[in-house]
Amino acid sequence: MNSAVKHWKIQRYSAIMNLFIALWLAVSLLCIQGNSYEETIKWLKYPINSILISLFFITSFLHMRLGLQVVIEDYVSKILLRKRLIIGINSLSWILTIISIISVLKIVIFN
Amino acid sequence: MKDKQTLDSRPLSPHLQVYKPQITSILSISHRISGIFLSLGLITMSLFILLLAIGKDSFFLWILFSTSFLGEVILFGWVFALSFHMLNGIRHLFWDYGIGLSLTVSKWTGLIVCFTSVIISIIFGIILLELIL
Repeated sequence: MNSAVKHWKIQRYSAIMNLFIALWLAVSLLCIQGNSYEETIKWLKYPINSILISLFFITSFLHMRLGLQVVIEDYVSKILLRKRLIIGINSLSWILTIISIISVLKIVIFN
Repeated sequence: MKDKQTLDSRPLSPHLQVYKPQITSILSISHRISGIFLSLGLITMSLFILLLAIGKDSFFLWILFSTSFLGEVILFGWVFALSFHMLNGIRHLFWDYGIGLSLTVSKWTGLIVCFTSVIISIIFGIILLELIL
């Protein structure tokens, strides 16, 4: 598949998944807003919550990475700066995805 | 072969500020702005989960932030941006299937997106206030 087509499709698929997952997360966070550390840990340890939040990080960072890339391509005209920014955004989003999932795993296994 | 004269006399692409603001163009740029703002929210979410994983003392930082007035305002901003970006995103997904592309329909769906996202944010805001008070 052409990389532009791939970009377009992944942007849409992740959007559709986020419609459900981000809605779930927004409502959940509203419910646990202001909760103590222990209560928040307890909430995250329910399997459905830990699975959905991991999925949320994967699809959202994917969606964010692709979206920001388009914005950079549209507004940054200097080719070198554009390339560096895109590489920076890509690396940051992958690193944060991995850190977040490791954090969830750490809580599920050790807390 | 184009000489310099022709190149210079070519019309420039008009910039955003020369256009009369219209609901379609305003919503288009708002979709991008809300997306960029939500990126910050996503990064904050990963910070939240990291603080939670590190331990009780570091999670206290999150509690301080999310229960402060400034924190509440920022969280509310993300709720508004998210509901707008989601609803307008649904509009975009329908466009991808060629549905609702006419001027009249896209103006109406645009207005619906504006009003619905404001209403959803107000409902969220009221619940958020109820929880604080």
